[in-house]
Amino acid sequence: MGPAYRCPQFGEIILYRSLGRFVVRRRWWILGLWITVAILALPLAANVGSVLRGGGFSASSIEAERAYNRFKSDLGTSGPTVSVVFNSENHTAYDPEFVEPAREVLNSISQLDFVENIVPFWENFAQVSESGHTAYAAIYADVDDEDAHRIVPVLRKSLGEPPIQAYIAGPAVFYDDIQRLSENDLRKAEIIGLPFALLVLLLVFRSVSAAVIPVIAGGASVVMGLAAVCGLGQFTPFSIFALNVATMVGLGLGADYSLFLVSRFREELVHSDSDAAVVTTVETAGKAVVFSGLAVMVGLSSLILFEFMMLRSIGAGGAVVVAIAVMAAITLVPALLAIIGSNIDRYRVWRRRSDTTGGWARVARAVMARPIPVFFIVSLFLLVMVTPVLRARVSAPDASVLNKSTPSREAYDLLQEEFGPGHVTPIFAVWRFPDSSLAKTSLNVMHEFTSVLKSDDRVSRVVSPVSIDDRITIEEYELLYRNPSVITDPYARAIAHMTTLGKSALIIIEPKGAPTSDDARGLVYAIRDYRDTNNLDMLVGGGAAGLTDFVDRLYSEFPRAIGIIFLLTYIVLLLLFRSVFLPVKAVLMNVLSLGASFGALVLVFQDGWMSGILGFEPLGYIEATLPIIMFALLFGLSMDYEVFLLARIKEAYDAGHDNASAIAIGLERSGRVITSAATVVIVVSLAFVSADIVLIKAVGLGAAIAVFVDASIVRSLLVPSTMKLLGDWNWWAPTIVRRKYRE
Amino acid sequence: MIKRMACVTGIIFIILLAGCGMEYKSLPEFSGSAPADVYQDIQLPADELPHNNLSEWWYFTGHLDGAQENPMGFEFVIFQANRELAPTAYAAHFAISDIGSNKFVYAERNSVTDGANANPGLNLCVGGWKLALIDSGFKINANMPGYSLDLLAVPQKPVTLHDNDGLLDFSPYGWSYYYSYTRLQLAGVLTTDEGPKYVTGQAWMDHQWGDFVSVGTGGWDWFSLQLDDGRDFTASFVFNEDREIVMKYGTLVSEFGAVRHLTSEEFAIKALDSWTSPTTGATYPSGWDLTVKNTNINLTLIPVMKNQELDTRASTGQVYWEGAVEALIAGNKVGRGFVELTGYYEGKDLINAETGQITNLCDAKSE
Repeated sequence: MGPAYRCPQFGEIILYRSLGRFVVRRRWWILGLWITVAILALPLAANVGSVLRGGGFSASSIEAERAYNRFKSDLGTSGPTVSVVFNSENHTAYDPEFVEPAREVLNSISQLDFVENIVPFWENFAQVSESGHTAYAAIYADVDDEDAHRIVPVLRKSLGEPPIQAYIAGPAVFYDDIQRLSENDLRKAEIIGLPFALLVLLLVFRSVSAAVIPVIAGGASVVMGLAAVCGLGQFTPFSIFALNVATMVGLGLGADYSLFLVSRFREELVHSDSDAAVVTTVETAGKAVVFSGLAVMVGLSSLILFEFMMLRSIGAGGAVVVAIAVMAAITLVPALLAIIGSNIDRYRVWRRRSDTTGGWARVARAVMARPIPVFFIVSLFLLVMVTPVLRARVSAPDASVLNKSTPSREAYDLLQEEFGPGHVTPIFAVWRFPDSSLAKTSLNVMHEFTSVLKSDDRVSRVVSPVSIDDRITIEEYELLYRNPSVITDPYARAIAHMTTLGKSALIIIEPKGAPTSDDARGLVYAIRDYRDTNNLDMLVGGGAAGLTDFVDRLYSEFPRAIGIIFLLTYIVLLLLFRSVFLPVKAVLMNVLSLGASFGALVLVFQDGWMSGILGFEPLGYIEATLPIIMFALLFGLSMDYEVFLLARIKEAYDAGHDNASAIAIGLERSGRVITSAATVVIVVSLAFVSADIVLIKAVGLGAAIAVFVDASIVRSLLVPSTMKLLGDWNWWAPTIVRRKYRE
Repeated sequence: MIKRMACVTGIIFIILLAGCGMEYKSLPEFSGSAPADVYQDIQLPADELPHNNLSEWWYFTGHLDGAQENPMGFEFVIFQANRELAPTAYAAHFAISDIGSNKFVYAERNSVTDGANANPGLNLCVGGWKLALIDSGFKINANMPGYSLDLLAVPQKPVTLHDNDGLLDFSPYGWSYYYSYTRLQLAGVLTTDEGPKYVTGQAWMDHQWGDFVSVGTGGWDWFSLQLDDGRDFTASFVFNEDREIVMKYGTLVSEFGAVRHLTSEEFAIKALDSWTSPTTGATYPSGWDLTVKNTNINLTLIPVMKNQELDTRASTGQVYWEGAVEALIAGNKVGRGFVELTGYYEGKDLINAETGQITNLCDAKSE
């Protein structure tokens, strides 16, 4: 077996060896500590859902959010909290058979403590669809936006079972569904993922006692990670999406890291006693785990740089869970190994196979015999896999990311169908005038703006004090609003009441396309251009504006995050390998794996390949956070295998083998364990493909694809060919760097 | 190696550009106001039916007598409002001036429907109150606590087109078609707390539609008279918010239906007294002298009751006075009519007025 590292890393060896010896000495204490902490963490982990929030897709600095804040402060309302949608195939909203049951439902809802006001459809006929078969009531509740989803179950209960269909709709319902589904998805993924992961581990180790250790480590990482998230959630907002990502990462990496340690321990047991094997395992695999974990944490922590709570909490939650998984790998797992000792192979399920068959070494030598053609063919293949990315459309999530049978999705689809997509999530402009918003000058500017909007073929409808009807002239509007306290026309009175207050006015713009469509997003830009050209004091917010700002802000911050990930990963790998070029190579290989994974996601989630098998409806776009989450998560995750492989190659190189032999030996020695670890992560990730939330499904599938590409094509073909081509440059570092590390 | 890095970096930037660099179309240029509609001549009976214009109403005012010992005035009106992308909205007012009991009773209804225009002909139903055009005339059916009216109104004279061609141009504040049946013979049943009674009488009907809205500031005074000698007269005065007359027009219809448009100089009306509503505080003129030049029309108009005010803020947003009057010459009754006075209520609470409940919705398909 390969020796421990030599001179240049002597200080580190002492550190990891000391840790290993400490764990061996205090094995029972450490186990006891972990059990105690896990027991204390369990109630917190079970309660994590209660502190997590929906939303997190907005930030105070984006224009859409500033427009919403101005709307609330200037118009004195925050808009309806939810809508109650009524639908009947046989009756219209003008029939008593429709109105009376709706009135009963609304009466029941009006009794709820938190309900401040209800605007039924018979008081605002814009809330009745063109067909008349669907209508909704706007419910104003005294709750914060972020807690609004908590009233949804109560409202649902109040609906009863009216003779016409009734649904609750709106962002609060969407987030309530997201919360519920996230927790369901998690349970489903655990039920599917854990047994399969255990099966894979049994196949790998062929012994129950060896297979159970990674499961214990993974489970402990998840429980304590979620407890940590629950604790953090008391102080800072945490997104519900952090739940699934943290679990996936905790379970996958917790098991993965343990697998590396258990494998190494079994290797060491061949020529050492149990305690010495544990110490060597911590020195070697433990160290690789620490650096690998650092790489994953670097990736996930980059999400904290984003302004959006959803990404920040995924980053923070994920990083905390990875830190716990690393801690478990270098303390809990060695303690368990020290306790179990040579009984690690007890309770055999199948006969144990040799860990090294020479197959991987043969592959490496075959590749290194023709490195240039292999490099170009494999690179070309991966680039072809990347090409779908070139036509990727990214957009922010709306209710369409949920399964069609989800209650909020049903209501959303019904409203979209009956009222048009722009009515459900309109764009709005909040305007401040020097004088009253109903003064002649204000009306004239607004009239010109709304006339321009109404002549735009992307616009379905404009609601404003001066767009009630094209047949009403601006002179009539001037007269209508001459005395704002006596507006006799009921329509004008209702609209002026709804859209103006003092010097501010609200213009509601309903696009023809969905908020995620290019037309709707282009309309937002065009309106803002008009505003800037005409020097108007107007902020543009609402559906498409919020999504546009969200996507734009995400992708303006993304390059910075990429840069930081590259730089920190490079530094981590530089520290580990003492090589200038190996980290660059590792980063580039990772980019290719990720690119191929992104390409596959475009084909699946944008174009709909295999959507039937995977059980979702193609979105026609890639959810905007997906590439960023994937990049942050998978850059570190797929770096894992690169780190373990290169660590083994470096061990061989440091042991005196030449470059080519070191590559073959490293690939051979890490071959089985990397395949096993990757299989565990793929199995755990694929379990999340069962999710009802498309974003979670995509993260699961994307992770599985990236890890598969990395652990198969990149590891077996691209790494050996590039390392062969680089030759001794693989291990080159400036004298100053080497000297520094010696010091 | 460097080329490879550049290539991969390029791919990453393409991913980024996919999210940021979308092309979009600017908003169109402002092209000014829409061109004015091309007006067409009024075509009857087609134009009796509802139109797709901003505002429209069918307005009946009249006097019930005949077998009825206690003469009464009545008002029955249906308003229709069309606005872009909103369903057609209706409001209706029904009032009885119970002269013998010195009691003025009124009610209002709202309705929103997509079904009214689906019915052939004029066949409106608002909150259970109905107006229909049949071969012989108009059928009116309305009720409120204490009074129920079921009438047939048959025109006795040809239709009168106001302002010569029936088109009033309020430019730039819109336009309206306006015609009247100045004298309709009434027959039907009035049901009161005392039971049903056969009634006859005379009514006046205005039908007005066009692209105009009730602008709120100012108001109007409207007069309709049916003289015992067979002549009918109408006049309208439109005021701005300072109560200055901005439009004035009148029409005189002979016994045989010949129509004469009156210029603003040809007639004059002067208020004689005023009445302040104890309910709303609005002060209305009450009693008028009317003179039409080059005719022997030199009348005094006296309300049959002082209080004939309607507070209809829950339907049309108006507080107005609409009442039966008698036309006198030297104290002798020579005719009767109706007067409508709007814009006298100065309350500021219109904007907060409760929207009316939709009551007794009609099933248009069953009408």
